[in-house]
This record gives sequence, C-alpha cells and structure tokens, in this order.
Amino acid sequence: MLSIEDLTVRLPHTARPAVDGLSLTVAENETVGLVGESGSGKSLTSRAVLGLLPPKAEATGKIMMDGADVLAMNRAELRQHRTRSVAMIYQDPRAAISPFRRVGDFLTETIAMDRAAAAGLLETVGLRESHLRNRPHELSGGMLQRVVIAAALAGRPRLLLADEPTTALDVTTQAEIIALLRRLRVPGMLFVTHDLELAATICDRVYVMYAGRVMETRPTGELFRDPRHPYTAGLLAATPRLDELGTLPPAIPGRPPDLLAHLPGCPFAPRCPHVLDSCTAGVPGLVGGVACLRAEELCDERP
Amino acid sequence: MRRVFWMALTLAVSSFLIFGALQLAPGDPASFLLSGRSATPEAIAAIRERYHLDEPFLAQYWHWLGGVLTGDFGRSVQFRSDVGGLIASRVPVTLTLIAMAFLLIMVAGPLLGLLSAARPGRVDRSILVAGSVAVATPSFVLGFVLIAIFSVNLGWFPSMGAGEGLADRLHHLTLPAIALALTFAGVLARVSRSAMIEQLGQEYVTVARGRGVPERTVLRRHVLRGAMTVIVTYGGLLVPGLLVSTVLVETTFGVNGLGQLLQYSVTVKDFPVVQALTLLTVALFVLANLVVDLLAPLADPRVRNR
Repeated sequence: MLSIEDLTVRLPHTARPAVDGLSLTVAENETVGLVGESGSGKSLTSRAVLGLLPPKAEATGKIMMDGADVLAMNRAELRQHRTRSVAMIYQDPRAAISPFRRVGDFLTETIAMDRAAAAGLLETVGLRESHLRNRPHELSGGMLQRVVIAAALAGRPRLLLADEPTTALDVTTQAEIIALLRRLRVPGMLFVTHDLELAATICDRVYVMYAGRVMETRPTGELFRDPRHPYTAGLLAATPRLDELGTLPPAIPGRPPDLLAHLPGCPFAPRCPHVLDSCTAGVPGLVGGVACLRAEELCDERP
Repeated sequence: MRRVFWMALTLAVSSFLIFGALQLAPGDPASFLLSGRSATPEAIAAIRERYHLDEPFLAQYWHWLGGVLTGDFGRSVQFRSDVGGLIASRVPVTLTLIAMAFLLIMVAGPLLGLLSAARPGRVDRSILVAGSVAVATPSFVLGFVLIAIFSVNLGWFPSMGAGEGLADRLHHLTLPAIALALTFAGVLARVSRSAMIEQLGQEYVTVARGRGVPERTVLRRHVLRGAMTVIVTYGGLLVPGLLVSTVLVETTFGVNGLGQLLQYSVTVKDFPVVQALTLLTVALFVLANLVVDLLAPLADPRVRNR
C-alpha cells in the first residue's frame, strides 16, 4: 500500500540529510513500527508521507501511496491524499487542535458531514455526542487524543500515521489509546515511536532508525529475540526491566549526532562497541534487514 | 465590582492631574477674558469671582469636581456657554469621524497583516515599507496630500466642513477619516503581521494543512482567528488615540468637532473646555479598556475559566 523508495530529505543549513536513503513499505493489513531516538528522522519521514515537509526542505526519492507518488502531487491531489487516503495522529493533541474552536468544528473541518455522522465518529473513539460542543481546554489530554483519532477516521483513510500518539499522555491513558488504535482496524498503520516495547506490543514489523537511516528492519518477534544490529541491541539493553529493579541498564555511550555533523560510513560507528576501521569507509547497505558490516560475524560469535 | 472601583479611581486621579496641570500652565484666564482691554480692578475681581478664580486650588478643584459629577462641566470662558452643551453639539461629527476611521483601520490593518504574513518575500516587504511610511506620515501632511489629489485635482470629495445629513456627512468625512486612519492602520498591520506569523508557527496550523484543509480556510479560520486576541486588544486601545488625533485632522479639514474645539480652547486658554475634553479622553480610555476586557473571552475561550 505504502512504499517509500530511497527517500532523502535535506533541511536548510544542515550538513547531512535528516532522512538519508530510506526505503520502507507498509502492506495491506499491516502495522509497521518506525522506532528511533528523537532526531533520528522518524517524524520527518511520517510527515513526508503526508506531503507535509518544512518549508525549504528538499526531498528526493519516491513515496508511493497506492501507486501515486506523494512528492509529485499537485495541490488538489495532495488535498485528496490528505483527506481520503492518509491521516495522521499527532504527538500532542492539545497543540494539534486550535484552542479557539469547538471539537465539532475540528471534526468536520475537512469533510462535510452532518451532526449524526460527527457524533458517530466520536462514539467510535469512546466519546459522547455532547463533546461536539466542547472547547479543547475543557477536555483532558486523553479525550483530546480521541478527538484527533476521530478526526483522522473522518475520511476513512487507508493508512494511519501515528506519530508518537501516546508520548504526551499519562500511562493509563496511553494503554487506552493503544487499545483503541488496535481496535480501529484501519487497513494500514505506520506507528512512529521512540518506545521499543510499545512498538513490540502493536507492530507486525519494525524499522529501527538512526541518524536518518534504517539500521535494521525485521518482523517484531525476531527483532526482539535476536537483534542483529549493534544499535538495536544497545537500545534493547538500555530498556529498564522489571526483573532487574534497582540496577540501571547499560546506556549506549555518546550521543546521537546532530544534523551539522558529517557522518562518513555507518552513522552509528562512533558509538559502536564493535567498530572497525572499515565501518567508516562506506555506508553499509541493508543486507537481510541489517545495515551492519559485521552482522553475520557478530551473530556467529553469540552462543 | 473591583473593576468598577479601579475605573473610578483612575478617573478620580486623572481628573485631579488634569485640573492641577492646567493650573500650572502660564497665563491667567481672566486676562484672556478681557482680551487685552484695560479693565478696572473691580471688573477683574468680578470676573475672578464669577469663575471661582479667587479661591484656593483645592477649593476650585472641589467645586469643579462637584459640578462634573452632576453633569455640569462649568461655563466656557470663550464661548460664554455651557461646556456640556458645547461638547454635546460636536460629539456626533467627531464620533462619525472616529467610527469611519476605526472601521477602515480594523479592516485594512488585519488584512494587510494577513497578506504580509502569508506571502513572505516581495509582498511582505512592500507592505512593511508602505506601513513604515504610513506610520511616519503625520495625519495633517496626509490630509494636505489627500485634499490636493481628491478635492482640488479630481474634485471627488469636499475639502472643508462636515456636511449636512448622513450621506453628505459621510461624503465630507471620507478624506478626514482616511487621514486619521492611516498611521493607526499601519501600526495595526504590523501588530497583526507578527501575531499571524506566530500563529503560522503553531502546530494546529500545520495539522490543519496536513489534514487537507485548503490554505484559504487555514488562513481565515486558524491564523486570523488565532490572532484575534491581539487585534481586538490593540483595536480597542487605539480608540482614545483616535480622539486625540482628531485635533490635527479636524483642524486640517476644517471639521467643527471635538478636536478642533480642543485645539481652539487650548490656544485661548479656555480651561473649563480643555479640562472637560481631557477628562472625556481619559473616560474613553477607561471605557475602551473595559470593552476590551469584556471582549477577551469571545476572542479566546480559555480566558473565561480564569
């Protein structure tokens, strides 16, 4: 359904692309995770699928949605694309809805519908018809996120882009929103998060991003059982565990690179415990879902 | 209730300041009354008594304040008539002028600001330059230019007077209203431009675009709507400034309104009139503040809960 081919996005006044040669697919009835630290380019990627890039950003490559290239769409096609085929759920619902207007105005803004239809949408996400008259500041964050989800469903989209949809919410609300997203059964979903465990609970397949590049992509179960890329392994090891209370998990040394740094070769090389000289010589391609020169070798070393 | 108290206090303090400041001004009203004629000391004393000029300052103030509170603003030294009536007869002209200018400002300012914010580059820069020129042009200079072009050369509008009847009056006051509006419209355009640029950076504007809302609708329902708080606040607070600016504009166009009355009364040291008009300006300012405060919840629903 969605197929991104070799997408590169350059932002103005930066040394390296924020998204660098990324390829990604979402098939019919598949939920795909896009995982990475902040600044890894995952949000930018999901916004690019909407055709919503920051001004002066340069994008090359292809974003094919049901056979049409989003990057080549004209204004009318793009509007059609955003209202009917793809919809996004945002990180902070309070920032996503204008505080000056009513919930009902927000719901019916893109697609003409009567009151009953709008009320129906609210019911799908567990809200009541009376919420149509509410102002955003009268609702809680969790309720507002439900409103955002209801609005995303308004155009019956084929693909839902969830950009950190629970990061700004309480833990209990998070669980409710995740349960809601799983129940919706939109044909496809791209779930963007920095939370590996969350991705594990909801996604069929996961892409791990680092510095604008895909480091590893495999079915969720395999990836968590047997991470092949040193970065994925480091991320999983850095996740706190309930059975080891009181001990801090090992952090990955160093910090993610900013956009002003040029990165020859593998972007993770400066922080990688298994780094070789050859790692910085050239960019490793994705082989068997892993972008690491030593993937096979490291895999064999393990018991 | 608290608000009413503060409004009353503002008016009381400013009435005292106004009265006191005029007492400090050089020149004795009595000598103006006699307009250079030599008079007997008895005649001068009679005039001083007639206008309470012989009493101590506080007593004079008290006397004046008592009058003001009962609607009696005293008698004009120059016109030899009630200040209240003098002002009341000129209110309609000035009010029409201010209303016309206000309408022009509230339409042109936000519109130019929106255009500026939505079209960075050449359009934005042209509007900014034009706005700076507008802000820097004194209203009477613009007044002369407008008269030269539209009255003398084209003959579309009269250059003097306020006209009779509604249509004629609006016709007469068009050029003065434009002259009065220009500076304020320039400032409001700037203020709304920055408010709207701030709105354009809001996440909900990006979200609306990402949902396929047409750009025109985004600008109207989100950007303009979001900047409304700033526009309403600024718009309300410029009304007293408009009243003050009528001094220049009405004099330029020979409109017999409050502005011209104030200008004339200051020249001839007609203190009761100046005092009343200044107090009226302060009252208008306080009133404008109140209206802005009452409108705030309409502009931003979140204010209501505070």
